[in-house]
Amino acid sequence: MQASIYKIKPFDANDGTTIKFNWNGNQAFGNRCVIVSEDDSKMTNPIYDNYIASMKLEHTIDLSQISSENPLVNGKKYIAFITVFDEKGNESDIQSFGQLFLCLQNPTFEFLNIAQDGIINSSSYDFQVKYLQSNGELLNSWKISVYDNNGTLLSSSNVKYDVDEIYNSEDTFLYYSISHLFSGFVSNNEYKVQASGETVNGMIVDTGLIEFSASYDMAAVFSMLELTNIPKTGAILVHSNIISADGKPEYEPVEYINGTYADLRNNIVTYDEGFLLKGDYSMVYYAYHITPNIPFFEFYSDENPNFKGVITYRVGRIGSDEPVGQLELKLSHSPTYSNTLYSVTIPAITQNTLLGFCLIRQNGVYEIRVVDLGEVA
Amino acid sequence: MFLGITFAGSNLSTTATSTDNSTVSKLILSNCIADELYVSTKALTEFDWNIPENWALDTALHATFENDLHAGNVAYSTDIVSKVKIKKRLFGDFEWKTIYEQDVNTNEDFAIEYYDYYEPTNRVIEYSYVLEVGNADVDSAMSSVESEFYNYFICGSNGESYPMILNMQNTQTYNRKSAVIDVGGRKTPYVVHNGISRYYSGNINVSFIATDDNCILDAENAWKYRREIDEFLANGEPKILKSFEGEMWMIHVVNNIPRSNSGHYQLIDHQIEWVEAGNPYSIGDLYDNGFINTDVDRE
Repeated sequence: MQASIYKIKPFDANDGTTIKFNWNGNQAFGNRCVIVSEDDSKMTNPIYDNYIASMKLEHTIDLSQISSENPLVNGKKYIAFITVFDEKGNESDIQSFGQLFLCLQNPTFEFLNIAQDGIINSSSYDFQVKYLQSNGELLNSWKISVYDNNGTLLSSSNVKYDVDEIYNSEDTFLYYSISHLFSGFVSNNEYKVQASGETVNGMIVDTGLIEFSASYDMAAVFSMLELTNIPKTGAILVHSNIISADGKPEYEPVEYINGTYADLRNNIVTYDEGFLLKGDYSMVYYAYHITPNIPFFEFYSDENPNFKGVITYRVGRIGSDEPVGQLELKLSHSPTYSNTLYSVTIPAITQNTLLGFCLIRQNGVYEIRVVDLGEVA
Repeated sequence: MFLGITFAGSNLSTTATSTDNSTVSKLILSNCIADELYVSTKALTEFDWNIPENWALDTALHATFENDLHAGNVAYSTDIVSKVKIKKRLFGDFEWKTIYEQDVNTNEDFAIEYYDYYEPTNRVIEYSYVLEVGNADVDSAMSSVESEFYNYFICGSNGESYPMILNMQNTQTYNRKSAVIDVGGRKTPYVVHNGISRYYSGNINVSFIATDDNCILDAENAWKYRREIDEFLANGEPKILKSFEGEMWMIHVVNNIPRSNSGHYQLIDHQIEWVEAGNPYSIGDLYDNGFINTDVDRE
C-alpha cells in the first residue's frame, strides 16, 4: 500500500515546506520523505532522505538534512516520495511516481505607494503593488481588499487577472504592477489594506495587512448639494450651486483693514467671472469711507455694451438746514439714453459711517434702497 | 403707481421708474472701504439688511473681504481644478462610484445639474460633489436623499424616462440552461447544466398615456405619446427598467412591439419583450452601454 501525496505548491528552497499526504493503512507512527531531482526518478542521488516520528500525515522538510553537496535550488523541479511506518516499523511501499514540485524564490510582493502606518491625503486612493519573481514565475490572479480598523471588510477588488509590465526609460523591464482604485475613505479614520495573489504554478503571495489612515482637508465649499426626488420621472436631480468667483484688483496687494475690510480707496476690484444675472436680482453692498459725488459701485453687461449702472453718494440740503445724503443710480441704456434713480434721503453720513444699499431689479424695474448701518469702530 | 408708472418701490426709495432687462456680468467696486458684497438672483423686496451667512441656491456672489476677494463658495479656481465629479453610493455601502464627470475650464463648470435615472426606489442614496485637484479627489459637498416613486419606469441613456402606470404587468423568467437526459438502465435522468448564463427576461403589458403635472391623463393625445414611445423602445439602445418595489434591471427590448386594444379605443396596451443586458449597479456596464460618461471606478 502506498501513501498518496497531495499537490505541493511551489516554495522557496531556503524556507522549505510541509508535504501532506493521505494514508489508509495501519496507523502511522512515522514517515520518510525522499526528494530527488526531476531527472533522477531512479532515486540514485537523493537530495533529501529523512525519517520523522509523527502520527500526523505530513512531513515538514528538515532543511538541515538536505544534502549540502546537492541542495534544493530555486527554479528547479524535484520529485517527492513518501513512505509510512506503522507501530512495528513496517514501511509502506514507495510510490511509482512521486509528486513533482517546483522550488521558486519568494517573490517580491509589496505595496509601492503605501507603507505601514502611512497616510493617504485623499478620499480615494489607487493602491499599487509590485510583483517580481527572479525565476520568471508569473502572477496569475490577485485581489486587493480594504478593511476598517476592526478588520471588517469594506471593499474588495475581487479576483483580477490583469497585470501591467513596468519598464524604465531605456525600455528595460523592471517589475509587474497591479493596482486598484478605492474611494470612500473618510478623513481621520484608520484602515487596513491587504493584497494577495497566486502565481501560475500556485505559489501564494501576500502583503499582509498594512495599516494606514486618511487625512485630508475638505474643500472649502460652503454650499450643500441639493438633491431632489422627482417621482414623476423616477429620477434624482443633483444640483450644485458651487461658484468660483474671485475679485481682480487693479493693484496688488490689496490692503485689508483688521482682516475684515478691503481698502479700495486707491484701488479697484472687478468681479466678472462665475456669475451672470438675468431677470430679477438684488445687489447688496456695505461700505464706508465713501466720498460724495464719486462713483463707488458700477455694473456692466457683456451682452449689451451700452448698458451701465453707476451708484454715487450725493449729499446736500434738500428742504432743511441739515445736510442729507442719498444714493444716485444712473442707468445708461444706450449712448444717448440714460435715466437716474434716487434712494430716499438719510442724514448725511461721515467717513466712518457704514452705508448699505440694496439694488433690486424686479420685472425689469429698478429700485435702490439705502441704510445707515452705524459707525465703524 | 402714479399715472400708470411705478413711481416709488418702497419707503426707502424715491423713484423706481426705469425698465431694462440687460444681463449683468461685471461689477466694479472702488473709492470706498468694502465690508460685504452680496448678490442674489431673487428680488429681495423684503430684505432686512441681514445678509444670510449660508449660501443658498439663489446666491450668486458673496464676498466678506476677510483677507481675500473670494465671492464664490469654493476656495479653488479653475487653474488648479481639472474636473468636478458626482459620486454616488447606496446607504450602507463603503465605496463611492463616480457616475458623472465634467471638465473644468470656466467658473461656470463648477455648477452641476444632473438627473440620475438609474437608482432604485425606497433606498437612501448618497451623492458627493468632488473636485479633482492634481489627480487627487477632494471631497467637497455631500448629501443624501431617499428615492421614492410609485410606478414602473423604463429609462433610456439620453434622459428619457417613461412611467408605466395603467394595466402594468411584468412577468419575468430567470433563465438558465440545463438538459434532462433519459438513459436506459436508470430510473432517473441525468441533468446537465450547460454554461454559466443566468439572466432575467420578461414580458411587459402596459397602457402608455401621458399625464400632466396634476396626474390627469391626456387620452386624446395618447396616440402621439405611444408613437414617441415606440421610437424609444425600438431604438436598439439598452434601457433601465425599475419597479416600484426597488428592483432594477438593465435590459434590451427585443422582437416586435405589438399593441392590443384592451376594451376601449383609447386604452391601447403595449406588449414589450425584454431580456437582461447587464448589471445596472455596475459602473462598467453602465458606461459600456452609454448610461454614464465615466468609468474611472470600473469594477
